[in-house]
Amino acid sequence: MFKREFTCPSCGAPLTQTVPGARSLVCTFCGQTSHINADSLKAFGEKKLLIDYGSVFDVGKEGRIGEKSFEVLGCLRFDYDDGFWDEWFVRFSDGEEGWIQEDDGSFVMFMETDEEKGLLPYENAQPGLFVNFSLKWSSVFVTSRSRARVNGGKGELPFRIVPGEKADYAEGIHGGDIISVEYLPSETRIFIGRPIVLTDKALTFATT
Amino acid sequence: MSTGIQTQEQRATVKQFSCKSCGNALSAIHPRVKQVGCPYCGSLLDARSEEHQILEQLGTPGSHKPFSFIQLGMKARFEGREYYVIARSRWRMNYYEYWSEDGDSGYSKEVWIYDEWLLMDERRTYFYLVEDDDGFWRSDEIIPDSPAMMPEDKQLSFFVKQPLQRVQEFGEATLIYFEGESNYQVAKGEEIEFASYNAGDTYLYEIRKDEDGQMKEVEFFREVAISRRRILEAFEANGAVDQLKETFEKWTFVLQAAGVSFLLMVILAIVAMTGNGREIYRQSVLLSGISEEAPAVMGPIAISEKGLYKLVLQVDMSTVNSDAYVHAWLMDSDKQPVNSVGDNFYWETGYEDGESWTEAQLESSKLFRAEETGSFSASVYASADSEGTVTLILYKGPMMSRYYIIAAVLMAIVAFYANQKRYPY
Repeated sequence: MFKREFTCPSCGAPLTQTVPGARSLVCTFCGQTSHINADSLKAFGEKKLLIDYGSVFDVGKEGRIGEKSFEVLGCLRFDYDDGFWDEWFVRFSDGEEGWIQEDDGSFVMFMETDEEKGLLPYENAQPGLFVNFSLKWSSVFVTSRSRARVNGGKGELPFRIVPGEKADYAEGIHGGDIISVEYLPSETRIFIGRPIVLTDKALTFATT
Repeated sequence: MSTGIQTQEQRATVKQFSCKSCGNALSAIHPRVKQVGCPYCGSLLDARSEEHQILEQLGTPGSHKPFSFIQLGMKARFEGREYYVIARSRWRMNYYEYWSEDGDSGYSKEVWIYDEWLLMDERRTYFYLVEDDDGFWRSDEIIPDSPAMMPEDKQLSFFVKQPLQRVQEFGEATLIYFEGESNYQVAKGEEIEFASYNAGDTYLYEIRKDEDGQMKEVEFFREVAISRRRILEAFEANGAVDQLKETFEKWTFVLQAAGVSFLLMVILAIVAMTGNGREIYRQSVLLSGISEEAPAVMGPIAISEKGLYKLVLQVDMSTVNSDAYVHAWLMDSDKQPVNSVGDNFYWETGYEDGESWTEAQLESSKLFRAEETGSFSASVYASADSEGTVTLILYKGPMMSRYYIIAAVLMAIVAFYANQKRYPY
């Protein structure tokens, strides 16, 4: 199993990287976000510990979606006009990685797609219209778009984040799938998701 | 690594503070709560700051009382899970409603008020309970596989396998009051646009706009009707519902009893209308043999028991388009009339606008109560321009249909009243 040990550049606490592709680590103790550069960590942005609002998730917890078990590796929190939402970075037992979006008791399982060409500009994502999100995802019904910012992170994250930087998003529906585009300063990423339902068992979800 | 699979973490966080405006105690159970609408004075307070300052006045609670017994803080059990009522939004709809009548159809402009109760369970998952004067609906967000907005022909469907349906309602709804806790910015006056259709359940979309009037979000919902009985069962854990349940059960019993009685009365009325009782006398005479001056005398007619009788006069005319006035007197042994029956009898046919028609009055009857027994007779007078026969029949023990009809109407009124009283909310 992959494992790399670091020291938080801010407080000196030990940090562990378990995801080979991780690009950011957030210190559990002081909330410092650091980017992984080769064999070292470089601090970015202000220290920020995410406020615990009583999520069923937490970094290190294990859960299950249908037949697949997963481990929670990290969390990203986004602020937008109406509040905030969390994205939990998870790794399944088969090695696949994904995101579980948690927004006021509703959950969507997102997987990132390889499609990165012809991504829709934010300005063209007009809710209520059918637009092409990418070359592959055409004629998507836009359900929402909003200006948003990264509130902060937790644990290991697969891309470089800086708390406070912009993270606009657009979401749409295509054939019952939820298509989400995140507009980060350094890159634009597209995800495909489906709602999942929390069952009576802890951190166990049913697919819909 | 923690073992989240084995243990469900429960965080029953309760935030309590006093309303800055009226001083009443307020509480919020969601740790993410951002604002609280005071149900006592209608102030909207900041729940996150220590000061809990007043943000705005949302309206007078007394002007926006709930439709029913449901209140903030109540518990409810739906599909085996316990929920808390944490907020209520009141909306005023200005909308168009589809109507269809006698081959015509269209949309009429309407105004309607409804509440959206927000219910949250221990795992902090939500659903909306929609309530108005007509009842309750559970509203859940859905992800359709064929999302669409209302087209010009107003035929709509959100699913590939669901045929297009006529849009039943469309228009706008405005938030006019809020109480309870919210994780978002409560915006009094916020408007949404919507369109809905029925396909078993109700399906609708809601459009939210930003301050510039630009479409910000489109959400799709399915609303499933919930009976008032089911609502009472769901909220039965609340003490305030005990009295309502008792009332419900009492009036349900009255409703059922009145319903059964109504059916019984209808059956008896039908039997009474179609049955004459037991025939105890029958005699026929030729119309030509009687006149106003020379009546036919019939008898003896033995009435051996007091009680209800039915005297029937039947006229069988042999000539079309003729009429006859016939009257029969029932007389006691002293030849004193005790009752009578009579009428203008006729049988007419014709041909008009390519169709033939027939109108006839060939029978007349009268109910009476015999107070004496003995041997009776009858005198039958007639004034006729037709050939035919007159038959006098006496039945014993007919049923009074009108009393059963009156009783059935009374039972229907009682049933309607009981049904109204079952739901004292």
